[in-house]
Amino acid sequence: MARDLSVYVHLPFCLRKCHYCDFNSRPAAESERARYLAALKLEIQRRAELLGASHIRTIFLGGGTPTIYHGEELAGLLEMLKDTAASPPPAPRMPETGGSAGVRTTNGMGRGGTSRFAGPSPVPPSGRELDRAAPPTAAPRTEVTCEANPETVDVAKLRVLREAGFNRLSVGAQSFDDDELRMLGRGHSAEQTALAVAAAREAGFTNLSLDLIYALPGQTLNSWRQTLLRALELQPDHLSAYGLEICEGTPFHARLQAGEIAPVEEAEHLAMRQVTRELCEAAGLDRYEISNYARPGFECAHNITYWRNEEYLGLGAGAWSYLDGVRSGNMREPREYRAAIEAGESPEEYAEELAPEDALAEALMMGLRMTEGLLLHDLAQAYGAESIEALLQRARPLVEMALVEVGAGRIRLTEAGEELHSEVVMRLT
Amino acid sequence: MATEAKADRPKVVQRVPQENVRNFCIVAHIDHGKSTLADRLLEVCGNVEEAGEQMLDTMDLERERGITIKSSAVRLLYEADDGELYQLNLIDTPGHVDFAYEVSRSLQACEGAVVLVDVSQGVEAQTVANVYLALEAELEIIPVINKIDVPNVEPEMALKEMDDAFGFHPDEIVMTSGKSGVGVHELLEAIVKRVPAPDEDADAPLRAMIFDSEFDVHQGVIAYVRVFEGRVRPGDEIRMMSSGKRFDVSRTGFFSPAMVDVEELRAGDVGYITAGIKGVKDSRVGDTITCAKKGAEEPLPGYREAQPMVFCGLYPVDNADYEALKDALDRLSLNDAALKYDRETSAALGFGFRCGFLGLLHMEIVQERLEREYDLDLVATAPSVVYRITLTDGTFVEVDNPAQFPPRELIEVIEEPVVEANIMCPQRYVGQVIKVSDDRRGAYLKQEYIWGDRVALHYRLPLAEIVVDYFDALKSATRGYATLDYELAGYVPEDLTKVELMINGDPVDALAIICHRQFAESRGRVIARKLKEAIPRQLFEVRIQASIGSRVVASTRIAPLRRNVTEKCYGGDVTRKRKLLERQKEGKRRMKAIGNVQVPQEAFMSILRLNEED
Ligand SMILES: Nc1nc2c(ncn2[C@@H]2O[C@H](COP(=O)(O)OP(=O)(O)O)[C@@H](O)[C@H]2O)c(=O)[nH]1
Ligand code: SF4
Repeated sequence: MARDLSVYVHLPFCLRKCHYCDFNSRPAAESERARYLAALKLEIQRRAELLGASHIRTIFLGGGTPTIYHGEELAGLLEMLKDTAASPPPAPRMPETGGSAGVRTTNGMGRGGTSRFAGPSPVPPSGRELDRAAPPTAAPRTEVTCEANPETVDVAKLRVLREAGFNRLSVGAQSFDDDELRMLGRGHSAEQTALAVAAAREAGFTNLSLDLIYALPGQTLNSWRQTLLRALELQPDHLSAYGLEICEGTPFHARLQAGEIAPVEEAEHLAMRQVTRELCEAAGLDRYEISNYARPGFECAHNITYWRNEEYLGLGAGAWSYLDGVRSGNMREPREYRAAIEAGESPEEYAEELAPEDALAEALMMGLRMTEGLLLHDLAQAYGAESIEALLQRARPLVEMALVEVGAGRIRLTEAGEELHSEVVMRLT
Repeated sequence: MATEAKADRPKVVQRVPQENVRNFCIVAHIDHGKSTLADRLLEVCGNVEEAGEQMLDTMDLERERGITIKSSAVRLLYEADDGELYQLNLIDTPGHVDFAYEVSRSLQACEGAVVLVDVSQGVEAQTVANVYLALEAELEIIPVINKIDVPNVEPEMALKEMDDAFGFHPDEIVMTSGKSGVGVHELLEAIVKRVPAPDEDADAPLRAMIFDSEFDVHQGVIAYVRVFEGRVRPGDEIRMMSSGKRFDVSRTGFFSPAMVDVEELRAGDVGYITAGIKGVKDSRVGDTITCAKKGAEEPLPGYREAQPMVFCGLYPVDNADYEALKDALDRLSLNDAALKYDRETSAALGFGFRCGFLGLLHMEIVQERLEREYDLDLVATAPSVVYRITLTDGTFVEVDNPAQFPPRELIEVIEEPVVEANIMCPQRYVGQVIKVSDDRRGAYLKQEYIWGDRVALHYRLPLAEIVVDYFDALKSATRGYATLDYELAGYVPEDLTKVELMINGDPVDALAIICHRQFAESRGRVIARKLKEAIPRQLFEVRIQASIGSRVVASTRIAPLRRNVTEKCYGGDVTRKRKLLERQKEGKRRMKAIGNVQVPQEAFMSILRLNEED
């Protein structure tokens, strides 16, 4: 049987570094970006066997700012990934008869996705290609996401992406207040975000997500409400809203240390989350994860892979993989990554095989982020009935405190529990 | 612990006449290069091939805290320029008021003291204090300016300070570098020429003073002694003059720093004795060893039994570790004559021990050793002194645990221990010392001028104030220049009361303190506030109250934690995030559950240091 696999590709470059950002990203000259892309393609080739033998459920180009690249470059990258995945593996194993392999649900909420990337099957190669510009009502397909920053896209570029097979666009809006955008060090205005969204729609993106950040220093509940309303006016199919986390090493952190900015008070932060939930739900976006909202059917299948603790392959600098119970990560610095690849060496700098109890802890930590929680039956099957018994024991006081719910064969967090996710996970593991 | 000399190694132990013996110590501020210089002396005298690790301090803890808890003594053989062979005994000294008595015994074992000053740091406060003690012990002082290899530093400043502080003239001062070895020869010559030889009677009945003792699992106690009269050799039966206990000497010798046996130790010598002694409680610092038969009539002067002055409860965070804690205390006390402990139970903390210590530092050291060497997680309750209480029915009790204070209506009189403290400082700090002492219920007794601009202030103070933070407060008020020693001076009646703390309505016995009624309310408030700071937010609201009798004097609440979530979490670094949570969880595990409130270990101590903000 072909394994289900999600693929993450990291493109670590940005036009400039935002003031709060601690992702693996930085500015780079065009020549460096090109060499990096070439290295990335080499890594894809090295993974040909795995890719060819897998059923690719989702692809996600993240960054950095993937759209710092030309549309054609990104199209070429996806093309290559597709081709590699479409070639049967050279392994001695007999190809399976396709059958059900082409139809797989990508999430247990009943909103499934089928993939044409069903690994080796008797279906002719052309049939395994990504659908080009499927109409919105088309059958679920492999989700292919590209992250984009407003100032780096226009209709023409987005058309190239859409035609290449990208079918989901995640736009980094962050705020719709120009003063806030400036404070964040973003390179675009609110207006540019709106234009980018319009362009995406025009280019045929029917699955569009916006990223927002709230709990900014000095932000009021009202200014956050305004940002949310303007975001929702653009009718995104999906929305991610994160409370700002001020990380060490960022200019924000330095300003925090210098006492120039102060984090938002807890009560205010919670009020912002509350408003987010209310306004999103009123706009038809249901919360399905701590910080993620979607129109039914538009949940991000790629990220759900992470939260369900399922397997994924990460490609590129600093990208993480979870394969065969091993978590591994590539070198973070793009130059080092590239040097390793170019020298024919492994770019991996970290790998750890998880002990069963650690794997369970991670499954809980990730799974309880989702509103639907985890199926006890699945957990028992994967980690043994006894450890699930023990888990339920530990859950008891949390159930009493109304932080955890156990019922209908599931364990999940209540709304209050989600706000205390770390605390609850500590007590459950 | 020094390694034992190989039995088959030929003992080329040169005996030198008493007039060629020199007993000395080195007085120095931390980091001024004492260890390096000591190693260099050892090297020059051929004790070690090459100075490697610093040899005099042995315990990790000591090194970390920059203090020496235990003394040790090393013997050097030095062939001086006059062609004679000298036996130099270098005695190490501890350096904190808790161990002031041990210091005084170490100094008593010497005739000379090398006073070491870093050329770029100059004379530090602690050095002044210790020099004063050395002068009191009538030691010959050899002033040394060290680290003269340091580039671009002129010794003028240090020379001037030596003159100002002690009146040492440049021509008396030896200039050395422990690092390069410059001046080490001159220093050895100065020791030989200036430190007087012991002049004692080797034919009188044995009198040897124990200035340190250390327990070793293989040979029992190793007593470091200075022989003042007579001689002692393996096979002799000896008697501890304080207890009358008798032992058969199995070995006599010295440290080189390896243990080297000698046929006998005699008047003037410094060295060790082992005699199958099972714990240091039978080999007390300051005690006099004599021979069992026809022994000395009188012990050497100055013996003082180590007396615990401060008590606190020690409890395992995990009740299952009770036995392990008991074992650990049993073992530690083999090497710590001052440590006392008895079982005790606390409603809040479960089973544990009431332990007695010389002072706060001693308490902290023991606690740290238990945690580090025996891998125990402990909760220590706030330290207390011993109160004497006369009950209304005329009976009399001693209480060293605030939790066990009798109800107020049963108390006729409470007496608390007081000390007479002798604080020495330069004239310019007198005002600060008076303020710090007055703030802590001190009663001024008198003031004396010592020499130069040094002043000695005498105060009577409640011991309870001393154990809290008196010395720390003194040091910070005088920028380190004050020295303190004190002696118990009996008990006096005081208007004391118990302040109780409640967490979510339940009194927590381990958090109770005794204090003067005048300060009770403000202390209650400060403690409540400190607890609020020390206890992390819980999933529910926590109420903290302080009460005196049935009257609540302070009340505060810790709002429940409502948000603790990583909002952005995808496929990167999942394992690292899990490990982060695990570490946080580990931190929680080390907290003590009181009811269902997780209370960190520090919270119990946080109620202690109050005066800073009072
Ligand atoms: N330049 C120089 N450094 C020295 C000398 N003696 C010691 N040191 C350095 O000073 C520091 C403290 O030395 P140490 O002997 O441990 O000091 P102690 O705390 O007095 O025992 C160490 O970093 C030594 O390397 C010296 O003669 N010259
Ligand atoms: S665009 Fe995104 S990845 Fe790039 S610097 Fe800004 S926040 Fe970081």
